[in-house]
Amino acid sequence: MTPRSAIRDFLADLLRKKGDAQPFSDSDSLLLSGRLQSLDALELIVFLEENYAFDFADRPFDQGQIDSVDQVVALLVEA
Amino acid sequence: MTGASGTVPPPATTSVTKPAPRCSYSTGGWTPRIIPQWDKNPKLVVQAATRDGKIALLGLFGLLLFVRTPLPLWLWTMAVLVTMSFLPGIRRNLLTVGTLGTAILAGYVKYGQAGPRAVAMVYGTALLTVLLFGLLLFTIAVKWARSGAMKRPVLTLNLVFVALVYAAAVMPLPRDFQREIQFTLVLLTDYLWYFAYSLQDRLAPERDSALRQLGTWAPFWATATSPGTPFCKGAGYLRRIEAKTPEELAITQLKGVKLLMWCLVLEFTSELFTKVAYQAPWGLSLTDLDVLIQTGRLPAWYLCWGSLLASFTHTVLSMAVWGNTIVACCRMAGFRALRNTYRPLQAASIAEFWNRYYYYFKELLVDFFFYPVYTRYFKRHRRLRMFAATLAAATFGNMIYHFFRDIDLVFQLGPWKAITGFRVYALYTLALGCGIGVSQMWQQRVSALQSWWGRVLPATRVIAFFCLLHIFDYTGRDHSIAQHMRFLLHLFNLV
Repeated sequence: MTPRSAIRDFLADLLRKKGDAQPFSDSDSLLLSGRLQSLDALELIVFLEENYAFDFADRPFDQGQIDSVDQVVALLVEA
Repeated sequence: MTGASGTVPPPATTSVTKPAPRCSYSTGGWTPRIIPQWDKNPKLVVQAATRDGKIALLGLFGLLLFVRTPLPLWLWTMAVLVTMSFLPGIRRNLLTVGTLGTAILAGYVKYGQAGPRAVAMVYGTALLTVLLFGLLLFTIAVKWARSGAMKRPVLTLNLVFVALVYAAAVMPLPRDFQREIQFTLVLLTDYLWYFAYSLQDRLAPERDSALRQLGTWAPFWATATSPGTPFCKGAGYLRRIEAKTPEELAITQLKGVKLLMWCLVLEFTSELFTKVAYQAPWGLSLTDLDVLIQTGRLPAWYLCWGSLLASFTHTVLSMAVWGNTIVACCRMAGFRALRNTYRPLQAASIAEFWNRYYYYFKELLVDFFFYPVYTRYFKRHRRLRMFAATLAAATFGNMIYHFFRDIDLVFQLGPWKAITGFRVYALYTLALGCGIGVSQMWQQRVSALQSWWGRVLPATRVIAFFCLLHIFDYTGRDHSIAQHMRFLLHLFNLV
């Protein structure tokens, strides 16, 4: 499974748990649009730390960096 | 609360076609609406995107806003909104012009009684100093982004501010000069967290220029009424929520008008509620909560419950009216901002209430206090990590924000009295932090299929928690904790 599809599945699962079954594209805003909330952002942070050894402590963090599938993938590529 | 939006309505949507629910469950079925869902009507959206449609929408919005805004600010705000609606291509530049104009006008509205010359000399100088300070800070942060002080720029900003306040409070300076410096620092508190958002934007690849950042510092939709709290966050957020097409703009403006209408409904409700709760002879004649706590003359315990519930309800309604009016204005300017208050009484957990009650303040605490701790400390201890970050935001950040907001008290009372007098609010933030922390650790998502009773019970618990906590929501410096505790105990007939 590619990082993109793993992240997509993870976000889709988070949305499903919230009762949101609406489709979303890789560029759709999820956090800043209100579909996901701060608590969900934390789950995503932990997911990235555990699965990709990503360390957010190394860089200034802003919710906008993990707002969509595209942005999360770009963050991983950049690291 | 059933308002301008519907059953599972988003405060704002990601795209035009896909609504994004902010609440975690659906109430299902038909919901009566006070304000129709104009933004869901395709014909109306098409109409709203035309020249005549825009004029009609702006006219209606202007009429509704007129009720709540001083005339000079209303005229300027409407002029900016009209220009932004018809020239969306230069919206961000117009935002800077609008914000600067409102900052100047707000000074005349607020301090006009001192005479135009005094306003120009004192307020004008202070405003110029603060804005130049912000521009200098942003320029330094961009140029030396990786330097020691700019690795944690918000921390640096806060430390510089504390040092300046301490110096202005205790240094022996000529009295007039000292007053001018203190006035400038008080004005700076209105801009502090806006500067913080600009500093956060310094490393963004599509970062805005310094002049565009200036437009986001207490933007024209918020300048006059929201000292300190960044509505709607900073440049990075505005770039992402800006309406990109005529259709998006039409939907956003329709939502802006709806939200302002909802605010007026809530304001009417709030005024009616105040009359029923407090006025004699035909109302309940309840005594104001602050008066009861301050004087210590407490009536029967059930009347104290009445005063507490009335004060809490009034506070929630006022917050919804105040914050959402600002958001409505922001939407009219073409930004798809989320509501500030969104059905808080339906929250199923303490953390959720906090998210729904005062969204932009919560975002400030999350962005500048929660994430810095969460991404750095206690990574191997999941619950401790969450709890520490929550305390950093809801307790420490909350205290810092309110202490800075009322920094004039440091100059009036001296640093020591201003700090020790803050004890009641410090206790409030500690209880709030612990409550949210525990709530987050044991939070269960509320299923869409959960029964009516299954949703009402957690919501009642949450309201009870915040209602009792409301007793300690006092940022003044002249009450003791004992006065507030006595009221709390009297509610249960214990004293």
